[in-house]
Amino acid sequence: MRIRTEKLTKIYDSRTGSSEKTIGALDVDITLDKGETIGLFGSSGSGKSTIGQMLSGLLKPTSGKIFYDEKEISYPFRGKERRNIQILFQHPEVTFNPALPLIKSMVEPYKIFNIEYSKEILIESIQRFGLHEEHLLRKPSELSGGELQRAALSRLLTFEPEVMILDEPTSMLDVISQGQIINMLREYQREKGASFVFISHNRTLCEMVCDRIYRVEHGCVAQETDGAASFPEKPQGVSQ
Amino acid sequence: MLEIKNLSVSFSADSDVLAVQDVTLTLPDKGRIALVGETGSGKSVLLLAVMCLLAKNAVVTGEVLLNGEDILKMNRKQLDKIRGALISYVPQGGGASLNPLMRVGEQVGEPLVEHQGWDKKDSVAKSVEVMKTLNMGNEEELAASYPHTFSGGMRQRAMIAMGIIAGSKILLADEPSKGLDEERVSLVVDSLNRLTEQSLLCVTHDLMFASRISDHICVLYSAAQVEFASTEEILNDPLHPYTRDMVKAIPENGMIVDNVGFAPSHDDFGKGGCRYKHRCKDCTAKCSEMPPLFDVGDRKVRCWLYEDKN
Repeated sequence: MRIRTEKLTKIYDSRTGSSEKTIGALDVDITLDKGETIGLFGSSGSGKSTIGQMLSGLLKPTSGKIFYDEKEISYPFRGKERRNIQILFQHPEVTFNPALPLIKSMVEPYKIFNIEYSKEILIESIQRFGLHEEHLLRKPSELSGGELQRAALSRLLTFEPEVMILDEPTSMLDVISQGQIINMLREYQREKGASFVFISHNRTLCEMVCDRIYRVEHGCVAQETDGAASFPEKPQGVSQ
Repeated sequence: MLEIKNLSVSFSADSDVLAVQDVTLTLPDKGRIALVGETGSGKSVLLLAVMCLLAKNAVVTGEVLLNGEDILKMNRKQLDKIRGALISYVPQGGGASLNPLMRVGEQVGEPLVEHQGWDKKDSVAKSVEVMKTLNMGNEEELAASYPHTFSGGMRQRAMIAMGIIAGSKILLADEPSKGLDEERVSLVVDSLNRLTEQSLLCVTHDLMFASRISDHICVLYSAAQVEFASTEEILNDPLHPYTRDMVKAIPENGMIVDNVGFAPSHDDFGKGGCRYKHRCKDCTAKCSEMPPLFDVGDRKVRCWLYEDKN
């Protein structure tokens, strides 16, 4: 099992200082195999992004455990997990520093992990995603949403991650850009056997992309279905 | 009735880069048109141009006739008279446009107070009434609440209520479904479809959303209008190669994206010819020249494939 969680829980304290608490995620048990795509499906506020952020090491769980290749990993991730688990966000327009030309943001992975870098390597890696040298000199505001999301994906794949958390990666994009991003992800998965956690509120898309789907409601993983199987209208039971 | 004639927008006079190129569109009374295209295709700029809300450096040519009068030639005073009363605009990310320090009821009713001298109390009562026609639920309670307690979908619908409260018969909406989950999108669709007295011109990148709120769809690609047809025709029998590729890429239709490549960069815009030629499987030598908008029956298509069917 590439990733496994045990009773993963996130409780948010009230911002106003009262003792009222909000459940972000409660006793979440999910598994993710090598080369597999699982879906986290739910409406906004259901806690799917909270789970995704804990899995990617951006958010400290209140309690519970995350296992990576059956070895427990804890927040903050260090070493190889830090590189091997990556997240792609929903809003491509805020993924990059707005004040910098794209190239400055794109070289960061190379610097952070001492990956061999030259401008030619970078240009070659972005060409696969339909981007060219001139795009690198522009600022994020001068690129379209589709272009930015492809740049974000290109930057992410520099890490050659084994696990990718995809937090609604296409909900801001037109259908053709969406299809392109999904195809690129599938190609990478075929090549490297990477595992994906696909977070989405689009039922049809979830069914098409995922091998298995977890339905998330009020922070709980309510049900697990096959990706291809149709959804029942109501969850069959809540496991807490 | 709103008639857009040969509307073009660029952001500097000497530049041949156009943000909107030669769009001609008629929105009849009670008509519902969706403007569909990818980010950067010029759909939002088109709405802003119609409302005369573009920054000063924008160069707008063509005509926008509101009941026969050209909006583009109006001065500030005339614009103030028509905005809200005849034509209104709901910006993108509508939720962020609400004043966080003002109760929603007062805010929705504000156009009446500002433009028509209504009493504040009456305007709140009227806003409850308008929110009821949009079927928002618990309208009295909503009117007394502040925007931060609203979900994204609710804020969007509050903005729509504000758009129509002063009697406006034409509503322009920019991406009202963006960032909302399916349930909330359905609520926005429901509210928009309750506007039976108004005509709607709605910008969206989501073809499925467009199909639920419109009777006609205008497809924009790289600033140019490439197809105009009824919603049913667009979804079931698209003519322009771009529209065809787009319809195939809908998840419900199998999400087929076969080698359609990527949109041209803005630098290539001025180089002439059909904008879609680099990605088009039916591209011929003729496509190095920009095709005009051909009439095919009631439909309009900007593609040389339909030259003979004119």
